[in-house]
Amino acid sequence: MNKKNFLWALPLLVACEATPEPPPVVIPTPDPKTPVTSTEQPTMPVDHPDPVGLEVASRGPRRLSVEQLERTLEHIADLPLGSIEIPENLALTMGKPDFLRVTEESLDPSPLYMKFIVDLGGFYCTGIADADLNAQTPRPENQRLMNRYPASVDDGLEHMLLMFTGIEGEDAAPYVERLRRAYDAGAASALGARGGWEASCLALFTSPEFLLY
Amino acid sequence: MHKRELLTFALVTAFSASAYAQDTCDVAEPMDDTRFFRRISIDLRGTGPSFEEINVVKDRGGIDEELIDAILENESFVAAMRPYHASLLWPNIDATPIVPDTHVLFPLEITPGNPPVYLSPVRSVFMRAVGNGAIFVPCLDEPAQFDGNGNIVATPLEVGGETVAMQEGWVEVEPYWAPGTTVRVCGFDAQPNVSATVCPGPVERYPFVEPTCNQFRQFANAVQAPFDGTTVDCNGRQAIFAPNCGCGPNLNYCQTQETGAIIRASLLEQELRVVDEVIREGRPYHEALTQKSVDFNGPIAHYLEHQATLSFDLEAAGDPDAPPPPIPYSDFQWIRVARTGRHAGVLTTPGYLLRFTTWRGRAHRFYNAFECSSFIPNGPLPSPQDPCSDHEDLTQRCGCDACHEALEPMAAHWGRFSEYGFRNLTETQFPRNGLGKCSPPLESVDALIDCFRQYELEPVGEEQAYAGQLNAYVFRSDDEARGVDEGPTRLVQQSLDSGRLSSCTVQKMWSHFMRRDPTQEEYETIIPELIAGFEGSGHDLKSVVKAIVMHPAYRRQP
Repeated sequence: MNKKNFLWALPLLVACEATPEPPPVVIPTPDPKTPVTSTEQPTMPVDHPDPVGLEVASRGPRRLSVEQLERTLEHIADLPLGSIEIPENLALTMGKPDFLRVTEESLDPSPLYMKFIVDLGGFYCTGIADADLNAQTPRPENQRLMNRYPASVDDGLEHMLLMFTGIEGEDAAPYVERLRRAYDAGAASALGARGGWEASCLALFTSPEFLLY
Repeated sequence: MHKRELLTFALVTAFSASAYAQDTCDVAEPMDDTRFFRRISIDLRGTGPSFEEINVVKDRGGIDEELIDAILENESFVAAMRPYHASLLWPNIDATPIVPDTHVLFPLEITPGNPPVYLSPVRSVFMRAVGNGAIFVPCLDEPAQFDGNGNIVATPLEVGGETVAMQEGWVEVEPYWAPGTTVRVCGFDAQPNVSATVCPGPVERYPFVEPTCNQFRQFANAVQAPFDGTTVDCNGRQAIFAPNCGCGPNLNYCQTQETGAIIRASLLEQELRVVDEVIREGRPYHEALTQKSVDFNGPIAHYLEHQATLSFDLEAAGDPDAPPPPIPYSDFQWIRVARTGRHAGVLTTPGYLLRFTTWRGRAHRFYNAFECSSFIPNGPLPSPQDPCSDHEDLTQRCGCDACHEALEPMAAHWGRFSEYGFRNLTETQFPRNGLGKCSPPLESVDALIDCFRQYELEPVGEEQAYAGQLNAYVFRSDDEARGVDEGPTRLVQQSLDSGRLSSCTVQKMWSHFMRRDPTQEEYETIIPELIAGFEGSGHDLKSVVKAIVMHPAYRRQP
């Protein structure tokens, strides 16, 4: 029993001594679980073959390898080559082969990979925010990833979307709309606008549109 | 599949009656320019594009052949192909000790606060331990003393009235890895001698060396080879029997963990640089497997010159067909050297030979990586009582023959590059028939080791017909023996002539860039076209890569 639970139980013990009647049993209600994001599958026409078995004559999607991730993150934020280096043991965990025990790069977007991506995204976006949104000496606007166009948040989000995913123009509109919601939610935190940019950055960092290409 | 794409999929299929009749989904759309450029950039340069580069593409009005040519000519394409070739060559030699532990130095802070003193814990066993005492005793943390003859003075370490070790002090040495500086090294480890006498005894002083000396003494006597009192090189495999051998001048014969890591990394870098060079210069792709030239840097040159011959377990010696340039360890520049003899591209670099230590392993990797083929048994092994299980020749033994009929002749191409090392077994030193060379009296213990490792000297059964032959020739027909004589270049040429190398390269390139294997239809249509284009271009890898990324299927998104 931890200290908090013990303190909570203390009045009950005192009460038990005072009255012989047992206290009513309280069944704790479970914490509400955050629902996993679901995607509604469209209803297939009658007699349509199972999509799972269909051959699609296009390039298969693939996630970024560890090396591609390192170099791409540098380019996105206009950082010097070699700025981002994932430690060797972490790179191995993220699928990079060592050619001794593992000879083939794992490029599956596994839950373990996504866990590290979320962590890495946190470090990356915080670091970029430190540089781009620095109150005293922010990076020049033409080098920034965040708040590149101070007059327009949406323009800034469009820029981030372009750099992370290559999506722009009409295709970008629904993404920017969703990013704006992430931005507004982050900006409503104690961090203010910085929280908005970091939230948008993390949303892009963990998106399939970035991680798959 | 993304929700929006699923919706597109549903809309298109809803209005396309023909989609129900075929098993091909053709709803995939071409990517727009910026997303396509991102894909191209990541695949061909290993990184997404910068903002400026995106704008350049926009200004050009899209991605055209000229832009792809420019990307393929850029050095970043060479770098982007590295991981692909690493996945073929598996560059990692961490499982193979490249020097014996007696020659690996560790810095030890003997007295807290004092500068560290370098020593080899394993050498401590042979040099300091006496009686039944502690075997990993370091030296004393004080300057070494020498007698009038220049010999190190060691003092007994007494524990419970018994001498358990003999300890010396340290000396200051200018190490090869940091010229102009000095480090403290235990006196026995630091000995600068280049040669010394083996097994001088007495057993009381060297209780952990003498039993092995006795064993070798018996071997030497059996083949009438000189042993006691002989002088051996301190960078040779018998150095451990010679107490007056240490790390040699400037510690040349020893590694630290840091120098060892640099040497290993250099050996693997040397291997991959061969492929880089061929891609960069747009030369025929197969030259990566056949070209003579290879780059050396200081760490590799130092290792080959001073350390490669130290181990009993690793077969290595100076290679007259690939002499390292005379450059110091500290010179990290790469220098091109033209090898001769049967050297063949990456396939005979120490990096490849140390990663795949057996002839069969070397051939197997080639078979998988460059011919897209695998060895698959044709069924369970028959009973060991079955007469066909008695064949010594694996190409004849049932249950083994299905794979070994192909594998053994392929493996023979590495037959003059020793297993468990990278020694070039030249005809001068290792004639095909070794009966004369290996008949007593032998000239040295080293000759004894060479004979029993490299020659068929104790044949049984079907091996009798090959008694005295160099191992690589055992069971080989005259035609197969040509593989031994000509080396891996012949194997590559056969693969090229049969079309297997071209076909495999194209299929692998397709799978690498398309992120999926070709469909059956593509095997019958696109792949043959790509192979013809690859061969027509003189096996230019860039041409096949260009053809793939310009193919409409590459630009489609699922």
